[in-house]
Amino acid sequence: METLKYSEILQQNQLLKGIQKGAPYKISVLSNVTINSIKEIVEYSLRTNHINPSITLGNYDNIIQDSAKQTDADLVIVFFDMLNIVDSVAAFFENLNDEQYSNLKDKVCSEIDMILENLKHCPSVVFNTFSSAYFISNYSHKSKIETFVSELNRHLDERKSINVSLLNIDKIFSKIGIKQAIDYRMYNSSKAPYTLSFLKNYTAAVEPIIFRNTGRLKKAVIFDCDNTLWKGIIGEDGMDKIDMSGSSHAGHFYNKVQQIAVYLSRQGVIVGICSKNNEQDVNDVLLGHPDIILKDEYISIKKINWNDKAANLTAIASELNIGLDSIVFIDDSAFEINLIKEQLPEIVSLQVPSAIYEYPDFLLENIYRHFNFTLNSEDAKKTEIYKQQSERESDKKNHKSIDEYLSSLSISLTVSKDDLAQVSRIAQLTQKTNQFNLTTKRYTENQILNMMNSSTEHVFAVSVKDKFGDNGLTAVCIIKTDLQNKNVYCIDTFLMSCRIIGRNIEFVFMDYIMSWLNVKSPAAIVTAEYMPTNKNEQVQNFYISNGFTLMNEKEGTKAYSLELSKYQPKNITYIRTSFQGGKN
Amino acid sequence: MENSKSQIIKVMSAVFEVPIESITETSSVDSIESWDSVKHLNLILALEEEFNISIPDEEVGNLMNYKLIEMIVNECRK
Amino acid sequence: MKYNDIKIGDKEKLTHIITINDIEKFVELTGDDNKLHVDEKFASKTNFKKPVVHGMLGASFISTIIGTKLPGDGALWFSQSLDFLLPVRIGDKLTVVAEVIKKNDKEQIIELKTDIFNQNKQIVTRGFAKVKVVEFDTPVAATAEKIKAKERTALVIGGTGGIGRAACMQLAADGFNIIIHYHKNKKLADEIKADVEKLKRKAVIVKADILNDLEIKEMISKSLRASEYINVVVNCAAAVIPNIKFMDLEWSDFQKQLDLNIKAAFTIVKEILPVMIKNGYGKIINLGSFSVDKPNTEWASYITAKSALAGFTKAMAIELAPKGIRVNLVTPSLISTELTADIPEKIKLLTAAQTPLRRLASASDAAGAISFLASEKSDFITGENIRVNGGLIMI
Repeated sequence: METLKYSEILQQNQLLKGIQKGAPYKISVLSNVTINSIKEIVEYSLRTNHINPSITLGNYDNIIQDSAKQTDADLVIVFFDMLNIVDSVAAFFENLNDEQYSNLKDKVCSEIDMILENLKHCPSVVFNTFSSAYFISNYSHKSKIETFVSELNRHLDERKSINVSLLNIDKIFSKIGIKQAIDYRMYNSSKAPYTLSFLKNYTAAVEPIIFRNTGRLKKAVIFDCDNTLWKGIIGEDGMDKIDMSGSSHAGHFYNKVQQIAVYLSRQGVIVGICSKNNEQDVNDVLLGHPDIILKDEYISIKKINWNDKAANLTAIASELNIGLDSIVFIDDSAFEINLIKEQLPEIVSLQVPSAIYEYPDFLLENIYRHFNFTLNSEDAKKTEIYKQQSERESDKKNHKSIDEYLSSLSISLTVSKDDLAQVSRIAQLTQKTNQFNLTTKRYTENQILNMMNSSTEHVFAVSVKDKFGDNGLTAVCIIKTDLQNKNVYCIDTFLMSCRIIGRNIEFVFMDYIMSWLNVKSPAAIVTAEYMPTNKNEQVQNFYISNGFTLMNEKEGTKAYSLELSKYQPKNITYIRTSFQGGKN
Repeated sequence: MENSKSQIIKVMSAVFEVPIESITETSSVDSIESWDSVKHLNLILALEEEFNISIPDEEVGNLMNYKLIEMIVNECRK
Repeated sequence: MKYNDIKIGDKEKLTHIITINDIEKFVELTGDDNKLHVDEKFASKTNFKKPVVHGMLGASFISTIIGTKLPGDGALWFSQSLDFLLPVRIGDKLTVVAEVIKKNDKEQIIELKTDIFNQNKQIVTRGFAKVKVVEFDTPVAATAEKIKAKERTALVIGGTGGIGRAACMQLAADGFNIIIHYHKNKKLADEIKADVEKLKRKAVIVKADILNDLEIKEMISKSLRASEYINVVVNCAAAVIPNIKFMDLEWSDFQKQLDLNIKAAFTIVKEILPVMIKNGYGKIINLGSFSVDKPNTEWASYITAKSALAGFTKAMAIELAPKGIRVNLVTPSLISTELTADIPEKIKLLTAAQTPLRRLASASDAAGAISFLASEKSDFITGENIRVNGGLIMI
């Protein structure tokens, strides 16, 4: 997007208007400078990623007042710009005496606090770090402004609540240069300091946060092999002539790419291969080439055959139980890339740049855009888990009946309720789970935290183990007490990671929830909803199969109800359940 | 100097979110409903980017209709 | 003049400087190339020493007075006596004086003493004329059709300019007969005359340099001969406005603008006033300038004159109102005409864009206001300034 002309962005944005259906993702941009031109750029970015945007701009220089009114927003972006802060100081900044400096610092810090306080219930906040790059600097010593800025940033970092992501705009200034980023003339005439170039880059920087919040981060990166992971064609050049050596002129870029792939794998991203080759040839490289970095152990799935790649990628998505729109595909061939773009447009298809020295950076930039690397322990295990999944799939074929097979897995569940240690993982699941998800409500960590602390809301989570390994925390159920009638419980969220689908774990979980409710209030009524999306069709009858009655259907959403006393537990014996962690 | 006409029309259409056919020689602040001060700022940015020019402060307020825009853009391109 | 209006003692005067040109024309016309008149060498040998002007040449100006002033229209000049008392030389300034000395009511004949003096107040020719004053029906001006007393007539000064022309056509459409004044562009004046006549109105063209009082008087005379009444005078004369930086200005620049805008208007009005007062009704319309309300730089002399014109309009208005003469001002904003051809296109576009009604004024916009002020609809309006500027300024 950074390379598109503004007028083209505006034009495309206009064309994409109205195509996205569904509840809009509401973004509020608060600022102490004029930043209106960002609106269409962010809209365009969201629309091209199939998100329906609703962007409002706060009033000029009214951050604090506006921050108190953000009850509705999904995301609040705060531009607390140093330019305007310095302007408000009548004197030359370097000339401020200690008292004036200190007063100013206190003032700005208390403003920061007020803003953070006002926004603390907001699902997600992006707060730009303070920058001194706008001001003429002395190259050899630290100016007062620089000191001021670092103190403000420290304060911000210390005081930020869990829902705040800091966006370091100095990195954008470094990338494009302050002269390309700031238009002093426009700032002078209209208090609008940011150039189109800056705004485009800023939007690109905010995208990953929005993707994370809306469950649009990707899950897998699938690589082609020849001239993608190494220079050369294994089938033609043979093991000796393909090059991925860190010390060779041509090979070392591919070497770096492989290192990035390994990094991804360790971060829990699924790394796979889709290549038109003889399987043996590729495996020989993965297992035996002296310079190979991306070893077989990091690769969760391989499709090495002579079939068309569209079919292969579709199969990959299906076997991994992830959506096509969770995949990033990298290939050097324009033919393959265009094929996938046409046939499977949901996949992000990237072509290896012809200027090979740009390849590693190109890959990394796209990775940062589509993946999020705030680690939780679950992620690190993912590669292993997905590998296990593949094994399970192959194992499945050996058993006659599903039930027989399932019981042979020795599945055991550990249930927790309101366990603060799991906030991060639970939030992540709500953001990423699309298929086995009855209501597809996306929550941030902050929101999960608030629900756990509430007496009328209960957050259940299930960790799953079986004979092949530990799947980790993979199912979530959120129960909310009806505010009007304490005897009515509503199932706000019921979801399971696609990894554990097809094992009847959902029924065991439901049994557990119901028995817990029964202890609390035997005469209770339980209500639930199914909200249809493109991806969760498989659960449309879930509540029916749990004995609920359909009460009404409105615009596709089905509302169910069940008298707790009438619930019939499934009592699946081959799955063991135990309780651990959190409050009972 | 090549004809900047079609580029100007394209930019105006994109900034004001109106079809290209609706931009004519007589288009002005009065005839384009969405043309407000925010869009005016966007217009300046888009024109400067499109033609790689810098429009002087004094002229910024004179970009009131198609004819004036064309005149000022051509002046800046010299 | 009508016989009954002529009184004994009525006097008319005319001055003329004899030039070599006059001599040559006279010789060509009459064929009298007597060496005394045309040959310097010959004349030097005579008592006269220098060439002498033909006696009849000097005397012919008596014809002018009788034919155009006293009694003017209706004169049937049947007797003239002449005594050439002193030689007239080339360069002499002759003053011809005609005075009514006798009246014969039965025959409607007047007798005039017709004397010619030179610049030294010496009488060079003495004569007596007898003139019968006949009724008006007889056409006198051969080239112009007389406009009947009951019809309305407008005199447009500067009729060949942008606004002038528009005013001529608009007033013609309103039912006025038009007297089209021009200075240099006779061809255009003729065109306008033809256009007015197409509208079935009468039109007459008159020439004058309005910086010259005498020519103004001649013009008014001629106009009054063509039409007994002139109801409306529209002063649209204009010249290209000079751009002069203040430090480069001299008083003569101011004088020039004042002469063009004030003196000319003053002289014209003074000449036309008797007729309007006699009718008890008249409309005088001046053209103001937008730059008086919103000044341009480097236009000091022009703006001063146009400001003075605004004051002059009001002064005339208040004094002449009791006599039934309304004096008003029309002030248009920038009009794209020949006069403003040098103003850059960009200024014009910007002015149009900043005008609330989003265009420049046109000559016909100004003519519209002139039309209103010329009509009976504005009979209760005097000393007023109608601004025609699309809302560019609202006071």
